[in-house]
Amino acid sequence: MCYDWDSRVIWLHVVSDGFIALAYYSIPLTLLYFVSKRKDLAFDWMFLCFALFIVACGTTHLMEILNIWHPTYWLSGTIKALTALSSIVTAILLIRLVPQALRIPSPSELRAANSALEGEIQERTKALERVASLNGELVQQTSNLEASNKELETFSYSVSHDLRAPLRHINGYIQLLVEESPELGPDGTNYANRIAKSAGHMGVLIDNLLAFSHTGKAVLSREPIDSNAMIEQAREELLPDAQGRAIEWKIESLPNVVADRTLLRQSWLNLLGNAIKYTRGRNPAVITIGSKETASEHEFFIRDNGAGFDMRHVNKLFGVFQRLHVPEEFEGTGIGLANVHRIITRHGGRIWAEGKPGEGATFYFTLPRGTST
Amino acid sequence: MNINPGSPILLVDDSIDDVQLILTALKRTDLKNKVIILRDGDEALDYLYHRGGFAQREDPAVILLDIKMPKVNGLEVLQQIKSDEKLKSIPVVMLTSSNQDSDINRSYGLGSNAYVVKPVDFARLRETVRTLGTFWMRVNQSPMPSAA
Repeated sequence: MCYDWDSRVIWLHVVSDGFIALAYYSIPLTLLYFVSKRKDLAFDWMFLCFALFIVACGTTHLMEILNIWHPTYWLSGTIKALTALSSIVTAILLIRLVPQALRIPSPSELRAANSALEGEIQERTKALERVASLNGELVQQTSNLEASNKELETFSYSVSHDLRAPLRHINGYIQLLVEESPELGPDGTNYANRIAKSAGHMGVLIDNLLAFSHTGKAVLSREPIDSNAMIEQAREELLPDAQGRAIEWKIESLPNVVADRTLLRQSWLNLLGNAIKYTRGRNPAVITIGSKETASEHEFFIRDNGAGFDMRHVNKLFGVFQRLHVPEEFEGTGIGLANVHRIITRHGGRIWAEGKPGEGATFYFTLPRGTST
Repeated sequence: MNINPGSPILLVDDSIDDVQLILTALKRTDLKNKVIILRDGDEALDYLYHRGGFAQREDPAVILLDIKMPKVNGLEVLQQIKSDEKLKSIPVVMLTSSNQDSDINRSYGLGSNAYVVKPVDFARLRETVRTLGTFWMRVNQSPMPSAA
């Protein structure tokens, strides 16, 4: 007896089942619409499972209504079984899905990540702006540097031209004065000659200073150089300084190097010239030149048994206008070693010295082997 | 162009002291040539082109030309001389304080016949002037009137 055939109970069930079925059929449609619109949705197959399961549920309710007037228990039982099956499958799939679903960032997490990203973008934009501004500063500095370089060139031109002229005049007139004025007497002649000598010394200073500034600017033109041949030429050039002196030269076989010929020649001339100068009074003077190879460098040394120096002053040795001796003892301008230092450094080498007062000095310098043949 | 061994030496220099010293040095040689002194590039060009007070000028045997001078500098004078068919065979010696590579290269590029740096030391200056005088007036053969 179905629902006691009480028409009120029957209609209560029919209407309720009808609405439930209607709702169940509308939900999957809504889900399908949602899935079709959100292409980026994760696990969209899960929504299809839900849809299938809910349609099945709705159908069981329709079967309830049908069974009131036409008992089709096998059919409704089968549909109920299918519904049960799809529910179980959906439930199991859902349970298995939870850990994966939890890994998907929630909207609030996404918002946080998004704002962090925005912060990063802002920082990056600021950094880019900073780089651009630094670049602008660099361009400005480069142009300032170019300007001051030009100024320096003009300056050295003036020094070379305008400072030399008055010295030439002083020197010339003093010479004429001495030659043409016998009434000067020995004292007057002595004073005049001292003036001329000072003017001459200043001329040498100017020349050396200009050469020093030139060394800093000159573009290196590297070529293979026979070190022993270069030293031989330098020795010949220095012969006038060594005249009448007993000098014992001990020159080892030296490696060839690749360097700027003019500049390296200047360095050797200076180092050899110093060795000759500071061994004045030694009999015999002994000057030794040798070298040693390291993995990356040629290391040359030039040793003498001359006046030497106190290691306390070693840091002054390579400074411009720095001298360790009074001019009466050893003449000089204090630019030579500064120039050698600059030349060696510009070649990527190092220079240093060791010495002891009265026992001589040893100068070492290196040239990178990368530039050797 | 009429250059002969008796032609004058043209000395173009703005420094009265350099002129004095070079003249003294020249006087001590046995050269008898007249030395004509011009104090800037403008005056040198006036002389060479018979302008102003130089209508009766003689062609020089050699021009000793300073570089740094007021108004028209030595390089400009050199350029003018060497680009003028009538003047370009006159030997021009740059006699200057400057030992700058740029001046040396520029001078030879413009056709200078020699480049000499005035030495600071007077003995050497004297020797330099003597060498220059002897070379250009005695050793060197200048172009003859027919060849010009």
